[in-house]
Amino acid sequence: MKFNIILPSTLLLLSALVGCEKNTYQVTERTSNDGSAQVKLGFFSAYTVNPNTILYVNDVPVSNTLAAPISFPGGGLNMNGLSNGDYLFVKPGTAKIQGFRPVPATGNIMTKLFEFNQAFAANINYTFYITDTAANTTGFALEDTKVKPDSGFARFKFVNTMPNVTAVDLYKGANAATATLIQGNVNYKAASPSFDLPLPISDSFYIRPAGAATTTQPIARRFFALSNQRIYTMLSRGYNGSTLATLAPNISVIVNQ
Amino acid sequence: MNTKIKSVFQRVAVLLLTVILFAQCNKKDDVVLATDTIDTKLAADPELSLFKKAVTQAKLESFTKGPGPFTILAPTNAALAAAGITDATLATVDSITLTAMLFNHFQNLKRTSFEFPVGPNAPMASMAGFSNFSSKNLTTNTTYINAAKVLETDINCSNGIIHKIDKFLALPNIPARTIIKSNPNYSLMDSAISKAGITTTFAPATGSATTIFLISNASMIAAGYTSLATIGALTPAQVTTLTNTLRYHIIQSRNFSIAFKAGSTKTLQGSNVIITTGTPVTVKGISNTTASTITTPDIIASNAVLHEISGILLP
Repeated sequence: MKFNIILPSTLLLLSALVGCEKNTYQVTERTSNDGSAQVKLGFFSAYTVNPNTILYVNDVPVSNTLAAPISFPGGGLNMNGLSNGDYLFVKPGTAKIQGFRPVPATGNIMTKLFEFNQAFAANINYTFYITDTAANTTGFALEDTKVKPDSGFARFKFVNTMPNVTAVDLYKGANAATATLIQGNVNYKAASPSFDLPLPISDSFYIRPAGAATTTQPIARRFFALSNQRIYTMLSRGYNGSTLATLAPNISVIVNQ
Repeated sequence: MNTKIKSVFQRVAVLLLTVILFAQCNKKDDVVLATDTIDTKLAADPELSLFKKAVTQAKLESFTKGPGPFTILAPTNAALAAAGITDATLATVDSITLTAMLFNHFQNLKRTSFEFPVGPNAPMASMAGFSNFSSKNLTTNTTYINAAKVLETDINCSNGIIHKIDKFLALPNIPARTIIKSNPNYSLMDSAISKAGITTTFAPATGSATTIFLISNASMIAAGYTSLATIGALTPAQVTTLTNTLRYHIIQSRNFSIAFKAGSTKTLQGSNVIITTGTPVTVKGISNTTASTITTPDIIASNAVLHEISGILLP
Protein backbone atom coordinates (compact mmCIF):
# COMPACT_ATOMS: atom_id res chain seq x y z
CA MET A 1 0.00 0.00 0.00
CA LYS A 2 2.79 2.39 0.97
CA PHE A 3 4.69 1.49 -2.20
CA ASN A 4 1.56 2.24 -4.23
CA ILE A 5 1.48 5.80 -2.93
CA ILE A 6 5.17 6.62 -2.87
CA LEU A 7 6.06 5.56 -6.42
CA PRO A 8 3.39 7.54 -8.32
CA SER A 9 3.91 10.48 -5.98
CA THR A 10 7.63 10.50 -6.66
CA LEU A 11 7.05 10.30 -10.40
CA LEU A 12 4.56 13.15 -10.17
CA LEU A 13 7.01 15.27 -8.22
CA LEU A 14 9.80 14.57 -10.65
CA SER A 15 7.65 15.46 -13.64
CA ALA A 16 6.61 18.64 -11.87
CA LEU A 17 10.19 19.60 -11.21
CA VAL A 18 11.36 18.78 -14.72
CA GLY A 19 8.38 20.33 -16.49
CA CYS A 20 8.66 23.71 -14.86
CA GLU A 21 10.88 26.51 -16.06
CA LYS A 22 12.79 27.61 -12.99
CA ASN A 23 13.73 31.17 -12.14
CA THR A 24 17.11 31.98 -13.59
CA TYR A 25 19.58 34.83 -13.39
CA GLN A 26 20.47 36.56 -16.63
CA VAL A 27 23.99 37.86 -17.16
CA THR A 28 24.50 40.30 -20.00
CA GLU A 29 27.02 38.95 -22.50
CA ARG A 30 29.56 41.63 -23.28
CA THR A 31 32.36 39.52 -24.65
CA SER A 32 32.89 39.14 -28.36
CA ASN A 33 33.37 35.59 -29.51
CA ASP A 34 33.75 36.41 -33.17
CA GLY A 35 37.15 38.05 -33.17
CA SER A 36 35.78 41.59 -33.26
CA ALA A 37 37.41 44.58 -31.66
CA GLN A 38 35.24 46.14 -28.97
CA VAL A 39 35.09 49.92 -29.18
CA LYS A 40 33.54 52.68 -27.14
CA LEU A 41 33.32 56.14 -28.67
CA GLY A 42 34.16 58.79 -26.10
CA PHE A 43 32.68 62.00 -27.50
CA PHE A 44 34.10 64.82 -25.37
CA SER A 45 34.20 67.75 -27.82
CA ALA A 46 33.02 70.66 -25.70
CA TYR A 47 31.06 73.22 -27.72
CA THR A 48 29.33 76.28 -26.30
CA VAL A 49 26.07 74.78 -27.59
CA ASN A 50 26.66 71.07 -27.77
CA PRO A 51 25.48 69.79 -31.14
CA ASN A 52 23.30 66.73 -31.41
CA THR A 53 25.51 64.32 -33.27
CA ILE A 54 24.95 60.95 -34.93
CA LEU A 55 28.00 58.69 -34.66
CA TYR A 56 29.02 56.47 -37.57
CA VAL A 57 31.44 53.56 -37.74
CA ASN A 58 32.43 52.38 -41.21
CA ASP A 59 29.65 54.45 -42.83
CA VAL A 60 26.96 52.85 -40.70
CA PRO A 61 25.07 54.94 -38.12
CA VAL A 62 25.56 53.41 -34.69
CA SER A 63 23.81 55.97 -32.50
CA ASN A 64 20.84 58.27 -32.47
CA THR A 65 21.62 61.94 -31.92
CA LEU A 66 23.89 62.32 -28.91
CA ALA A 67 25.35 65.33 -27.18
CA ALA A 68 28.81 65.44 -25.63
CA PRO A 69 30.04 64.59 -23.09
CA ILE A 70 29.21 60.95 -23.56
CA SER A 71 30.83 57.59 -24.09
CA PHE A 72 28.82 55.46 -26.46
CA PRO A 73 27.58 52.88 -25.89
CA GLY A 74 27.30 52.61 -22.15
CA GLY A 75 27.69 56.16 -20.92
CA GLY A 76 29.41 56.79 -17.61
CA LEU A 77 29.41 59.04 -14.57
CA ASN A 78 29.16 62.82 -14.83
CA MET A 79 28.34 62.58 -18.52
CA ASN A 80 25.28 61.94 -20.68
CA GLY A 81 23.87 58.47 -21.26
CA LEU A 82 23.63 55.45 -19.02
CA SER A 83 26.46 53.96 -16.94
CA ASN A 84 27.34 50.46 -18.02
CA GLY A 85 30.24 48.72 -19.71
CA ASP A 86 28.87 48.21 -23.20
CA TYR A 87 31.07 48.29 -26.30
CA LEU A 88 30.43 48.24 -30.03
CA PHE A 89 31.69 45.21 -31.90
CA VAL A 90 33.85 46.50 -34.74
CA LYS A 91 35.52 44.52 -37.50
CA PRO A 92 39.29 44.44 -36.86
CA GLY A 93 41.38 46.61 -39.14
CA THR A 94 41.04 50.27 -39.97
CA ALA A 95 37.66 51.71 -39.05
CA LYS A 96 36.22 55.02 -40.22
CA ILE A 97 34.69 56.98 -37.36
CA GLN A 98 32.51 59.95 -38.19
CA GLY A 99 30.11 62.33 -36.51
CA PHE A 100 27.32 64.11 -38.35
CA ARG A 101 25.10 66.81 -36.99
CA PRO A 102 21.55 67.35 -38.18
CA VAL A 103 21.53 71.16 -38.36
CA PRO A 104 18.30 72.81 -37.32
CA ALA A 105 18.74 76.30 -38.67
CA THR A 106 20.27 75.94 -42.12
CA GLY A 107 19.37 74.33 -45.37
CA ASN A 108 21.91 71.56 -44.77
CA ILE A 109 20.39 68.42 -43.39
CA MET A 110 23.62 66.90 -42.08
CA THR A 111 26.95 68.54 -41.37
CA LYS A 112 30.07 66.50 -40.78
CA LEU A 113 31.71 67.32 -37.45
CA PHE A 114 34.64 64.93 -37.66
CA GLU A 115 36.08 61.94 -39.44
CA PHE A 116 38.94 59.70 -38.33
CA ASN A 117 40.47 56.46 -39.45
CA GLN A 118 41.68 54.25 -36.65
CA ALA A 119 43.14 50.74 -36.56
CA PHE A 120 41.62 48.29 -34.10
CA ALA A 121 42.91 44.79 -33.33
CA ALA A 122 40.72 41.76 -32.75
CA ASN A 123 39.62 40.79 -29.25
CA ILE A 124 40.87 44.02 -27.67
CA ASN A 125 38.73 46.63 -25.93
CA TYR A 126 39.31 50.25 -26.89
CA THR A 127 37.89 53.65 -26.17
CA PHE A 128 38.21 56.06 -29.07
CA TYR A 129 38.30 59.58 -27.63
CA ILE A 130 37.06 62.60 -29.62
CA THR A 131 37.99 65.93 -28.11
CA ASP A 132 38.50 69.61 -28.94
CA THR A 133 36.25 71.32 -31.47
CA ALA A 134 35.74 72.45 -35.05
CA ALA A 135 38.94 72.24 -37.12
CA ASN A 136 40.90 71.27 -34.01
CA THR A 137 38.78 68.20 -33.31
CA THR A 138 41.09 65.30 -32.63
CA GLY A 139 40.62 61.59 -32.04
CA PHE A 140 42.79 58.93 -30.42
CA ALA A 141 42.32 55.35 -29.31
CA LEU A 142 43.47 53.86 -26.03
CA GLU A 143 43.24 50.24 -25.01
CA ASP A 144 41.01 49.30 -22.07
CA THR A 145 41.98 46.45 -19.80
CA LYS A 146 39.61 43.53 -19.36
CA VAL A 147 41.35 42.16 -16.26
CA LYS A 148 39.32 42.93 -13.19
CA PRO A 149 40.97 43.74 -9.85
CA ASP A 150 40.79 41.71 -6.65
CA SER A 151 37.75 42.06 -4.47
CA GLY A 152 37.92 45.22 -2.39
CA PHE A 153 39.44 47.26 -5.21
CA ALA A 154 38.40 49.16 -8.33
CA ARG A 155 40.77 49.45 -11.29
CA PHE A 156 41.42 52.75 -13.05
CA LYS A 157 43.36 54.56 -15.66
CA PHE A 158 43.31 58.31 -16.03
CA VAL A 159 43.06 60.00 -19.44
CA ASN A 160 43.59 63.69 -20.15
CA THR A 161 41.27 64.97 -22.89
CA MET A 162 41.59 68.64 -21.90
CA PRO A 163 43.06 70.35 -24.97
CA ASN A 164 44.51 73.44 -23.34
CA VAL A 165 46.52 71.74 -20.59
CA THR A 166 49.74 70.00 -21.54
CA ALA A 167 49.59 67.57 -18.64
CA VAL A 168 47.63 67.20 -15.41
CA ASP A 169 47.95 65.62 -11.98
CA LEU A 170 45.10 63.65 -10.41
CA TYR A 171 44.40 63.89 -6.69
CA LYS A 172 41.94 62.16 -4.36
CA GLY A 173 40.76 63.26 -0.94
CA ALA A 174 38.17 64.91 1.21
CA ASN A 175 39.36 68.40 0.33
CA ALA A 176 41.70 69.94 -2.18
CA ALA A 177 44.36 71.00 0.31
CA THR A 178 44.83 67.56 1.84
CA ALA A 179 44.11 65.41 -1.23
CA THR A 180 46.82 62.96 -2.17
CA LEU A 181 48.40 62.62 -5.58
CA ILE A 182 47.10 59.53 -7.39
CA GLN A 183 48.64 59.99 -10.82
CA GLY A 184 51.02 62.68 -12.02
CA ASN A 185 51.94 64.33 -15.28
CA VAL A 186 49.33 62.73 -17.56
CA ASN A 187 49.78 64.32 -20.96
CA TYR A 188 46.99 65.52 -23.23
CA LYS A 189 45.66 62.59 -25.30
CA ALA A 190 47.50 60.10 -23.08
CA ALA A 191 46.63 57.72 -20.28
CA SER A 192 48.23 57.00 -16.93
CA PRO A 193 49.29 53.45 -16.11
CA SER A 194 46.53 51.28 -14.70
CA PHE A 195 46.10 51.63 -10.92
CA ASP A 196 43.86 50.13 -8.26
CA LEU A 197 42.13 51.99 -5.46
CA PRO A 198 40.83 50.26 -2.35
CA LEU A 199 37.18 50.47 -1.50
CA PRO A 200 35.25 52.26 -0.22
CA ILE A 201 35.68 54.90 -2.91
CA SER A 202 33.31 57.69 -2.00
CA ASP A 203 35.59 60.57 -2.43
CA SER A 204 36.38 63.72 -4.33
CA PHE A 205 38.88 63.76 -7.17
CA TYR A 206 40.80 66.84 -8.29
CA ILE A 207 42.99 67.79 -11.22
CA ARG A 208 45.72 70.38 -11.33
CA PRO A 209 48.21 71.32 -14.03
CA ALA A 210 51.14 68.92 -13.79
CA GLY A 211 53.52 69.97 -11.08
CA ALA A 212 51.24 72.60 -9.55
CA ALA A 213 51.49 72.94 -5.81
CA THR A 214 48.76 71.39 -3.66
CA THR A 215 48.09 74.85 -2.32
CA THR A 216 46.83 76.00 -5.72
CA GLN A 217 43.21 75.89 -6.75
CA PRO A 218 42.39 72.70 -8.70
CA ILE A 219 41.26 73.00 -12.31
CA ALA A 220 38.27 70.76 -11.54
CA ARG A 221 36.80 68.74 -8.69
CA ARG A 222 34.22 65.93 -8.74
CA PHE A 223 32.83 63.50 -6.19
CA PHE A 224 32.35 59.85 -7.19
CA ALA A 225 31.06 56.80 -5.33
CA LEU A 226 32.48 53.78 -7.16
CA SER A 227 31.95 50.02 -6.92
CA ASN A 228 33.90 46.90 -6.11
CA GLN A 229 35.92 45.10 -8.82
CA ARG A 230 34.84 47.46 -11.57
CA ILE A 231 37.13 48.80 -14.25
CA TYR A 232 36.89 52.53 -14.83
CA THR A 233 38.51 55.23 -16.94
CA MET A 234 38.61 58.58 -15.19
CA LEU A 235 39.17 61.54 -17.49
CA SER A 236 39.62 65.28 -17.53
CA ARG A 237 37.54 67.12 -20.12
CA GLY A 238 36.45 70.65 -21.10
CA TYR A 239 38.78 73.63 -21.22
CA ASN A 240 40.91 74.89 -18.37
CA GLY A 241 39.73 78.34 -17.35
CA SER A 242 36.34 78.33 -19.00
CA THR A 243 33.37 79.26 -16.85
CA LEU A 244 30.64 78.26 -19.33
CA ALA A 245 28.84 75.15 -18.14
CA THR A 246 29.34 73.34 -21.45
CA LEU A 247 33.04 74.23 -21.71
CA ALA A 248 34.11 74.23 -18.09
CA PRO A 249 36.84 71.81 -16.98
CA ASN A 250 35.39 68.70 -15.46
CA ILE A 251 36.11 65.12 -14.42
CA SER A 252 34.09 62.14 -15.67
CA VAL A 253 34.25 58.39 -15.38
CA ILE A 254 33.71 55.82 -18.11
CA VAL A 255 32.56 52.40 -16.95
CA ASN A 256 34.69 49.87 -18.83
CA GLN A 257 33.55 46.74 -17.08
CA MET B 1 -9.91 2.16 9.81
CA ASN B 2 -6.71 3.79 11.07
CA THR B 3 -4.84 2.60 8.00
CA LYS B 4 -7.48 4.14 5.75
CA ILE B 5 -7.29 7.52 7.51
CA LYS B 6 -3.49 7.40 7.34
CA SER B 7 -3.64 6.67 3.64
CA VAL B 8 -5.99 9.59 2.97
CA PHE B 9 -3.71 11.93 4.92
CA GLN B 10 -0.72 10.70 2.97
CA ARG B 11 -2.50 11.34 -0.33
CA VAL B 12 -3.56 14.82 0.76
CA ALA B 13 -0.03 15.60 1.91
CA VAL B 14 1.44 14.50 -1.41
CA LEU B 15 -1.16 16.51 -3.30
CA LEU B 16 -0.41 19.64 -1.27
CA LEU B 17 3.31 19.21 -1.79
CA THR B 18 2.78 18.94 -5.53
CA VAL B 19 0.59 22.04 -5.59
CA ILE B 20 3.23 23.96 -3.65
CA LEU B 21 5.94 22.88 -6.07
CA PHE B 22 3.91 23.98 -9.07
CA ALA B 23 3.08 27.28 -7.41
CA GLN B 24 6.77 28.03 -6.91
CA CYS B 25 7.58 27.55 -10.55
CA ASN B 26 8.15 30.53 -12.80
CA LYS B 27 5.09 30.42 -15.01
CA LYS B 28 5.03 31.57 -18.59
CA ASP B 29 2.69 34.48 -19.28
CA ASP B 30 -0.31 33.92 -21.46
CA VAL B 31 0.62 37.02 -23.45
CA VAL B 32 1.71 36.13 -26.95
CA LEU B 33 4.95 37.99 -27.58
CA ALA B 34 5.75 39.46 -30.98
CA THR B 35 8.58 37.51 -32.53
CA ASP B 36 9.14 39.52 -35.71
CA THR B 37 11.53 42.45 -35.59
CA ILE B 38 10.65 45.89 -36.88
CA ASP B 39 12.73 45.07 -39.92
CA THR B 40 10.75 41.91 -40.66
CA LYS B 41 7.42 43.69 -40.21
CA LEU B 42 8.47 46.55 -42.48
CA ALA B 43 9.64 44.11 -45.12
CA ALA B 44 6.39 42.18 -44.97
CA ASP B 45 4.11 45.20 -45.41
CA PRO B 46 3.66 46.24 -49.07
CA GLU B 47 2.36 49.67 -47.96
CA LEU B 48 5.72 50.32 -46.28
CA SER B 49 8.02 48.96 -48.96
CA LEU B 50 9.53 52.33 -49.85
CA PHE B 51 10.15 53.21 -46.21
CA LYS B 52 11.85 49.82 -45.76
CA LYS B 53 13.96 50.48 -48.83
CA ALA B 54 14.99 53.85 -47.39
CA VAL B 55 15.90 52.21 -44.06
CA THR B 56 18.12 49.75 -45.89
CA GLN B 57 19.70 52.51 -47.98
CA ALA B 58 20.46 54.55 -44.84
CA LYS B 59 22.02 51.45 -43.24
CA LEU B 60 19.67 51.66 -40.30
CA GLU B 61 19.05 47.95 -40.13
CA SER B 62 21.23 47.66 -37.04
CA PHE B 63 18.40 49.60 -35.38
CA THR B 64 15.39 47.93 -37.00
CA LYS B 65 16.94 44.50 -36.40
CA GLY B 66 18.59 45.46 -33.08
CA PRO B 67 17.32 45.06 -29.55
CA GLY B 68 15.52 48.40 -29.36
CA PRO B 69 12.96 49.14 -28.24
CA PHE B 70 12.02 51.77 -30.82
CA THR B 71 8.85 53.40 -32.03
CA ILE B 72 8.65 53.83 -35.78
CA LEU B 73 6.28 56.33 -37.34
CA ALA B 74 6.29 54.76 -40.77
CA PRO B 75 4.99 56.83 -43.68
CA THR B 76 3.20 54.74 -46.25
CA ASN B 77 4.32 54.60 -49.87
CA ALA B 78 1.56 57.08 -50.73
CA ALA B 79 2.76 59.45 -48.01
CA LEU B 80 6.32 59.33 -49.30
CA ALA B 81 5.16 59.82 -52.87
CA ALA B 82 3.20 62.91 -51.80
CA ALA B 83 6.45 64.28 -50.37
CA GLY B 84 8.21 63.61 -53.65
CA ILE B 85 10.02 60.51 -52.41
CA THR B 86 9.85 57.70 -54.90
CA ASP B 87 12.10 54.83 -55.90
CA ALA B 88 13.78 57.14 -58.39
CA THR B 89 14.30 60.12 -56.07
CA LEU B 90 15.34 57.90 -53.18
CA ALA B 91 18.26 56.66 -55.22
CA THR B 92 19.59 60.23 -55.44
CA VAL B 93 19.66 60.83 -51.69
CA ASP B 94 22.92 60.02 -49.91
CA SER B 95 22.72 57.66 -46.95
CA ILE B 96 23.92 60.26 -44.43
CA THR B 97 21.15 62.72 -45.31
CA LEU B 98 18.67 59.88 -45.39
CA THR B 99 19.67 58.88 -41.85
CA ALA B 100 18.56 62.22 -40.45
CA MET B 101 15.36 62.19 -42.51
CA LEU B 102 14.46 58.71 -41.30
CA PHE B 103 15.59 59.19 -37.71
CA ASN B 104 12.94 61.91 -37.51
CA HIS B 105 10.49 58.97 -37.71
CA PHE B 106 12.24 56.94 -34.97
CA GLN B 107 11.72 57.30 -31.24
CA ASN B 108 14.13 55.77 -28.75
CA LEU B 109 11.43 53.98 -26.75
CA LYS B 110 8.35 51.85 -27.29
CA ARG B 111 5.28 54.08 -27.38
CA THR B 112 1.88 52.48 -27.90
CA SER B 113 -0.96 54.47 -29.45
CA PHE B 114 -2.39 54.86 -25.95
CA GLU B 115 0.83 56.59 -24.94
CA PHE B 116 0.73 59.28 -27.63
CA PRO B 117 0.17 62.46 -25.64
CA VAL B 118 -3.22 64.13 -26.11
CA GLY B 119 -1.67 67.49 -26.80
CA PRO B 120 -2.45 69.56 -28.77
CA ASN B 121 1.11 69.77 -30.01
CA ALA B 122 2.72 67.73 -27.26
CA PRO B 123 6.40 67.36 -28.18
CA MET B 124 7.91 63.90 -28.67
CA ALA B 125 11.66 63.63 -29.20
CA SER B 126 12.79 61.89 -32.35
CA MET B 127 16.11 60.15 -32.76
CA ALA B 128 17.13 62.88 -35.19
CA GLY B 129 17.21 65.28 -32.26
CA PHE B 130 14.10 67.23 -33.20
CA SER B 131 10.58 67.20 -31.75
CA ASN B 132 7.45 66.01 -33.48
CA PHE B 133 4.14 67.03 -32.03
CA SER B 134 1.24 64.80 -31.00
CA SER B 135 -2.39 65.92 -31.07
CA LYS B 136 -5.26 63.55 -30.31
CA ASN B 137 -8.85 64.06 -31.34
CA LEU B 138 -10.61 62.16 -28.58
CA THR B 139 -14.00 62.42 -30.31
CA THR B 140 -12.86 60.62 -33.44
CA ASN B 141 -10.10 58.70 -31.64
CA THR B 142 -7.62 59.97 -34.20
CA THR B 143 -4.00 60.81 -33.51
CA TYR B 144 -1.94 63.26 -35.53
CA ILE B 145 1.82 63.62 -35.48
CA ASN B 146 2.50 67.14 -36.73
CA ALA B 147 0.00 67.14 -39.62
CA ALA B 148 0.26 63.41 -40.29
CA LYS B 149 -2.68 61.21 -39.43
CA VAL B 150 -1.87 57.91 -37.75
CA LEU B 151 -3.50 55.38 -40.08
CA GLU B 152 -2.74 52.12 -38.33
CA THR B 153 -1.52 51.77 -34.77
CA ASP B 154 0.32 49.32 -32.58
CA ILE B 155 1.98 46.93 -35.00
CA ASN B 156 3.88 45.08 -32.30
CA CYS B 157 7.40 43.86 -32.97
CA SER B 158 9.93 42.06 -30.82
CA ASN B 159 12.06 45.20 -30.68
CA GLY B 160 9.45 47.94 -30.70
CA ILE B 161 6.31 49.10 -32.34
CA ILE B 162 5.25 50.56 -35.69
CA HIS B 163 2.50 53.08 -36.39
CA LYS B 164 1.65 53.88 -40.00
CA ILE B 165 1.22 57.55 -40.86
CA ASP B 166 -0.13 59.32 -43.93
CA LYS B 167 2.51 62.03 -44.27
CA PHE B 168 6.29 62.21 -44.34
CA LEU B 169 7.63 64.07 -41.28
CA ALA B 170 9.89 66.68 -42.84
CA LEU B 171 12.91 67.81 -40.85
CA PRO B 172 12.40 71.26 -39.35
CA ASN B 173 15.80 72.44 -40.47
CA ILE B 174 15.08 75.62 -42.44
CA PRO B 175 14.07 78.92 -40.79
CA ALA B 176 10.79 80.53 -41.84
CA ARG B 177 12.51 83.59 -43.27
CA THR B 178 14.69 81.40 -45.49
CA ILE B 179 11.62 79.58 -46.79
CA ILE B 180 10.02 82.93 -47.65
CA LYS B 181 13.16 84.33 -49.25
CA SER B 182 13.92 81.24 -51.29
CA ASN B 183 10.49 80.89 -52.90
CA PRO B 184 9.93 83.35 -55.78
CA ASN B 185 6.19 83.14 -55.18
CA TYR B 186 6.71 85.03 -51.89
CA SER B 187 9.12 87.67 -53.25
CA LEU B 188 6.65 90.51 -52.69
CA MET B 189 5.92 89.37 -49.14
CA ASP B 190 9.66 89.12 -48.52
CA SER B 191 10.16 92.64 -49.87
CA ALA B 192 7.30 93.89 -47.73
CA ILE B 193 8.85 92.36 -44.60
CA SER B 194 12.11 94.15 -45.35
CA LYS B 195 10.36 97.44 -46.12
CA ALA B 196 8.38 97.21 -42.87
CA GLY B 197 11.63 96.60 -40.98
CA ILE B 198 10.25 93.54 -39.23
CA THR B 199 12.66 90.86 -40.42
CA THR B 200 13.32 89.78 -36.84
CA THR B 201 9.57 89.39 -36.28
CA PHE B 202 9.59 86.78 -39.03
CA ALA B 203 12.66 85.12 -37.55
CA PRO B 204 11.57 83.80 -34.17
CA ALA B 205 13.97 81.65 -32.18
CA THR B 206 14.57 78.06 -33.29
CA GLY B 207 11.86 75.81 -31.91
CA SER B 208 9.41 78.67 -31.38
CA ALA B 209 5.72 77.92 -31.32
CA THR B 210 4.72 80.25 -34.15
CA THR B 211 2.32 80.07 -37.08
CA ILE B 212 2.82 82.24 -40.15
CA PHE B 213 0.33 82.69 -42.98
CA LEU B 214 2.19 83.08 -46.27
CA ILE B 215 0.97 85.62 -48.80
CA SER B 216 1.55 84.70 -52.42
CA ASN B 217 2.61 87.30 -54.97
CA ALA B 218 -0.87 87.09 -56.54
CA SER B 219 -2.49 88.02 -53.24
CA MET B 220 -0.01 90.84 -52.65
CA ILE B 221 -0.73 92.24 -56.12
CA ALA B 222 -4.48 91.98 -55.54
CA ALA B 223 -4.01 94.01 -52.36
CA GLY B 224 -2.20 96.78 -54.25
CA TYR B 225 1.40 95.79 -53.53
CA THR B 226 1.96 95.24 -57.21
CA SER B 227 5.75 95.21 -57.46
CA LEU B 228 9.00 95.56 -55.59
CA ALA B 229 9.10 99.18 -56.79
CA THR B 230 5.61 99.88 -55.45
CA ILE B 231 6.54 98.47 -52.07
CA GLY B 232 9.80 100.42 -52.10
CA ALA B 233 7.91 103.67 -52.71
CA LEU B 234 5.41 103.35 -49.86
CA THR B 235 4.91 106.40 -47.66
CA PRO B 236 5.58 106.16 -43.91
CA ALA B 237 1.83 105.94 -43.24
CA GLN B 238 1.50 103.17 -45.82
CA VAL B 239 4.45 101.35 -44.25
CA THR B 240 2.67 101.47 -40.90
CA THR B 241 -0.39 99.89 -42.51
CA LEU B 242 1.80 97.29 -44.18
CA THR B 243 3.55 96.49 -40.89
CA ASN B 244 0.21 95.95 -39.17
CA THR B 245 -0.96 93.77 -42.03
CA LEU B 246 2.15 91.58 -41.95
CA ARG B 247 2.04 91.21 -38.17
CA TYR B 248 -1.60 90.19 -38.62
CA HIS B 249 -0.30 87.07 -40.40
CA ILE B 250 1.51 85.72 -37.34
CA ILE B 251 -0.05 83.67 -34.56
CA GLN B 252 2.10 83.06 -31.51
CA SER B 253 1.27 79.40 -31.15
CA ARG B 254 2.02 76.26 -33.17
CA ASN B 255 -0.94 75.36 -35.39
CA PHE B 256 -0.83 72.49 -37.82
CA SER B 257 -3.78 72.54 -40.23
CA ILE B 258 -5.42 69.64 -38.47
CA ALA B 259 -5.18 71.27 -35.07
CA PHE B 260 -6.66 74.71 -35.71
CA LYS B 261 -9.53 75.53 -33.41
CA ALA B 262 -12.59 77.13 -35.00
CA GLY B 263 -13.28 80.68 -33.88
CA SER B 264 -11.28 83.76 -33.06
CA THR B 265 -7.51 83.55 -32.68
CA LYS B 266 -5.34 86.45 -31.60
CA THR B 267 -2.55 87.51 -33.92
CA LEU B 268 0.76 89.20 -33.18
CA GLN B 269 -0.80 92.47 -34.44
CA GLY B 270 -3.25 92.27 -31.54
CA SER B 271 -6.53 91.72 -33.41
CA ASN B 272 -8.18 88.39 -34.00
CA VAL B 273 -8.59 86.37 -37.17
CA ILE B 274 -11.54 84.00 -37.63
CA ILE B 275 -10.67 80.39 -38.28
CA THR B 276 -13.09 77.83 -39.68
CA THR B 277 -12.00 74.22 -39.57
CA GLY B 278 -12.79 71.56 -42.13
CA THR B 279 -11.46 70.93 -45.59
CA PRO B 280 -9.99 73.32 -46.40
CA VAL B 281 -9.33 75.36 -43.30
CA THR B 282 -10.22 79.02 -43.85
CA VAL B 283 -9.00 82.18 -42.17
CA LYS B 284 -10.61 85.61 -42.35
CA GLY B 285 -9.40 89.02 -41.25
CA ILE B 286 -11.67 91.56 -39.58
CA SER B 287 -11.74 93.77 -42.68
CA ASN B 288 -11.92 90.97 -45.21
CA THR B 289 -15.23 90.39 -46.96
CA THR B 290 -14.39 86.78 -47.73
CA ALA B 291 -12.27 84.20 -46.01
CA SER B 292 -9.01 82.90 -47.44
CA THR B 293 -8.42 79.20 -47.71
CA ILE B 294 -5.23 77.48 -46.74
CA THR B 295 -3.90 76.37 -50.10
CA THR B 296 -0.54 74.90 -49.05
CA PRO B 297 -0.69 73.74 -45.44
CA ASP B 298 1.93 72.68 -42.92
CA ILE B 299 5.27 73.86 -44.29
CA ILE B 300 7.52 73.02 -41.37
CA ALA B 301 10.29 75.46 -40.55
CA SER B 302 12.81 75.29 -37.73
CA ASN B 303 11.02 78.14 -35.98
CA ALA B 304 7.41 78.09 -37.23
CA VAL B 305 4.66 76.28 -39.09
CA LEU B 306 3.75 78.07 -42.32
CA HIS B 307 0.54 77.90 -44.34
CA GLU B 308 0.07 79.59 -47.69
CA ILE B 309 -3.35 81.21 -47.92
CA SER B 310 -5.37 82.30 -50.92
CA GLY B 311 -5.62 85.98 -49.99
CA ILE B 312 -4.25 88.65 -47.68
CA LEU B 313 -5.60 89.15 -44.16
CA LEU B 314 -6.75 92.67 -43.41
CA PRO B 315 -6.91 93.73 -39.76
